[in-house]
Amino acid sequence: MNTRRITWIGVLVSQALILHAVERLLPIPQLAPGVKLGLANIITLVALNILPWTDAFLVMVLRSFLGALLGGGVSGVLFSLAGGILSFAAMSFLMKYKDVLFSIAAISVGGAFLHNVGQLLMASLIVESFNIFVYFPILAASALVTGFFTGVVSDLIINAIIHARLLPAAVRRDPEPSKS
Amino acid sequence: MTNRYSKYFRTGDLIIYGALLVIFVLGSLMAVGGLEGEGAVAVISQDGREIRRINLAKVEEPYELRVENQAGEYNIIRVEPGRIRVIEASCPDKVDVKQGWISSAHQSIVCLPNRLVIRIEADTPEAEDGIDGIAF
Repeated sequence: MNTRRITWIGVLVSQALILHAVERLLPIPQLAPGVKLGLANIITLVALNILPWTDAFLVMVLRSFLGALLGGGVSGVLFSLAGGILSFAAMSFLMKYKDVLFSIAAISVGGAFLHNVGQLLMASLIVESFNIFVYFPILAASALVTGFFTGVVSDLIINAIIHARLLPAAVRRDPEPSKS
Repeated sequence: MTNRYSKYFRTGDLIIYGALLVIFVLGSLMAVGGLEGEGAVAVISQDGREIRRINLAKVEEPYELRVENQAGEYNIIRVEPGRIRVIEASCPDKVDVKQGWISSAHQSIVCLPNRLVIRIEADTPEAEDGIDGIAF
């Protein structure tokens, strides 16, 4: 692992934590458990687009873990990781068809929805007999709005990074992500 | 100028947005269907075990009850005719308190830190074999 990759991972994780903190400051009413802006998802999307998927996964795990510790406490880590891993899986799958079928906005919407679903699944595991399907409509609606917004923002950031030629050669966008 | 955002609305994108819209519309219709039954019963459970059942339609005087778990964490629940809410809790986030009143079938209040769930079930026997019974 070279210095450049370590730097990218570190910068992205710290930016995600800042977005996480900013989001907590915004006075947004909590409509249902799991419904939030999800600004930190911007970072996961950027990471997926400019880093190999293993590094992007590391960014996601680190930001979920540290973000939950900074914000809620140890039980928050479980929710954060459940949502993070599920949405990461969905987004990295959709990324295979990026620019062919799906735009970043749609990938982000899918990821946002599954992030919420993952958190609710974890909640239903902890509190048994808790019907998560009741929350699906509100999660779907909020994922459409917030996911689209974060997706467009991510697209702008990714384009800016590519235009500024900030990417190290080793992680510049290849058709084969396995090449490192 | 008009197609600045059109790249976010191609075929595959529309499929994803459409799928979520369908979930939203169908889910909302089911939830509204659940509202129709009269006589809602509030079921309070802790750690997955049911600890109390209150028929909200039969409540005449408002009252409060305190639910405490082994760790000493508590929730104070207020019951009024036809509705129920959490008015005080020892959990840090207070999501359950902020949620306010619930009154119709399939609504629920969840306090994850204290592992407390208040769920409202429809009390009508017809609901069992009707659409509401299989909707969820």
